[in-house]
Amino acid sequence: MPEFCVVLTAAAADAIRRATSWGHVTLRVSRSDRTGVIRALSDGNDSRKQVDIPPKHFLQTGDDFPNSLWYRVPPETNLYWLFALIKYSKISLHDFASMVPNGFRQPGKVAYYAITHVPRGATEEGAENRDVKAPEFAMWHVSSEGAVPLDIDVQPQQTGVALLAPHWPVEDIRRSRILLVGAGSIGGAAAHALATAGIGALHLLDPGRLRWHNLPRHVCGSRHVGRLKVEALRADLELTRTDTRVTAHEHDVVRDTNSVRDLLTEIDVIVCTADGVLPRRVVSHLARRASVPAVLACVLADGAYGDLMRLWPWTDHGCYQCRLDALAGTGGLIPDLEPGSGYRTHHAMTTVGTDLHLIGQLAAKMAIATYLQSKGHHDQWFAGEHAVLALRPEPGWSPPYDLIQAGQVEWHPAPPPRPGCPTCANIKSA
Amino acid sequence: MLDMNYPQSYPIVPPNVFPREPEPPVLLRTQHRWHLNGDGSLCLLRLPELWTGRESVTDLLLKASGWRIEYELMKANLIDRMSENGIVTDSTYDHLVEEASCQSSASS
Repeated sequence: MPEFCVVLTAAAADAIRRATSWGHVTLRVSRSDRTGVIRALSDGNDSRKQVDIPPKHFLQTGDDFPNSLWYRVPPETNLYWLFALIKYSKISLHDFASMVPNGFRQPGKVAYYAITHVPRGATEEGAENRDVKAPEFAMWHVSSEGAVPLDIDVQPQQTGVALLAPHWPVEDIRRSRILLVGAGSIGGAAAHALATAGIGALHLLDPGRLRWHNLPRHVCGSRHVGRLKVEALRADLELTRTDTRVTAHEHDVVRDTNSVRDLLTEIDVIVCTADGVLPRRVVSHLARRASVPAVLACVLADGAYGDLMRLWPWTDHGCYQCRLDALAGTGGLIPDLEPGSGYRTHHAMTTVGTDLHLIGQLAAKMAIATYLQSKGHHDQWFAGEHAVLALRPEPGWSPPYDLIQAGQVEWHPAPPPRPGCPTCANIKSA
Repeated sequence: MLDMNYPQSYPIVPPNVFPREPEPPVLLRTQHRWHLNGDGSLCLLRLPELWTGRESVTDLLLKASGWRIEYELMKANLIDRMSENGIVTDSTYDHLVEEASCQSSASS
């Protein structure tokens, strides 16, 4: 079972750094989670000053324990902590006391928690003679039996996707603006994936509400039932993905097309995960006329196949309808254009959420790659413009939906526009 | 006489065609055999998705004209349901048009 852990917020860490040499600490503790956070601390025997706990953190409520301390220590103390932690051991009280220059309190019969702090400049003192740098902060349980090292998690100065730099183009992706049409099970997963990548602005567009029957597959939970899906997603993402500004639009792309058209002036890529052929056609048309690339994602044949299509606003790339026409021209039909299919992407409750989320995440990956490719990141070139993924394949479909093993993925190029297409006609190359 | 309402998503979504004179009563809108949608517009496509944006509204007007004729055939009890794809391309009811015309002439 994990031992007690203290979450050291950036505010508390700064307060310790600014203080003199030791002080009193009040911990806010959750016994069931065996976790604590600093609620207040002092500089020496001065009065304790309150330290803010991050909003909505679970330790906003809990029990307060005033019987803790912090000590300024030499680097060796926190190195001892590190080695003792790795070895699941402890150090004697005498040794611990000898490493605390000021304010040490004998535990007597009352054990206490202690945070030890090594000034930043001192963490590398003597580093030339050892392999490990002393941690700036360490945490101990101090009793008459010795000092036991405990876990401590220090909030970094920088949080979020910025921590991934330079291995991820954080600055470029932060400037991206993506419109997600459709906030269902595929769209919800796509929204989370887009925000996790650190896109700057995410516009969610869907008029639908989260219903009880959505819950087995949607990324949003039951606390949002009855709410607009776009608002539910926005609320969840605001808690977890603070790098991304999320805006909710309760529009229907087919009925409120003018609003969407206006929005496109500030959009870099559109992702359409809306159910049905009509929304995809409308998105394809709007994107093409606005010279914005689009990614269309859905499952077909009641979840047998995932379908991912990228539409570049280029003169040699046909729109969504041109691609359907090209398929029909070669004798193939997409599964849900087959007679009797009901002309929808899939019937309700036929596809497991896992498969829908997979398609949503791949759509997000393709949208991000589309944006980054335009910014010169050539490692983001995709294998093709149209992917068919076998999820639960069924024999009998015509190419390219003739995959027979789950997990198969095939990429295809984009056919050119068809003559007379009202979407592709008179388009200048982007 | 009819109204054509163009949605914001035209030409990808077809215009809605509403007959105004004659204007079918509300009760008929619940019966598919009259080829009417619930809002009173004409059901001119088997599925709205069959309109791809490449079609001409002239074709819709032709179909609406055919519907007007079939409406009279229905009213005259010469047929009990409109033809599946409309009489523009389906000649099944052609002979009845002449019959209805004769009935109309006789009654006037």
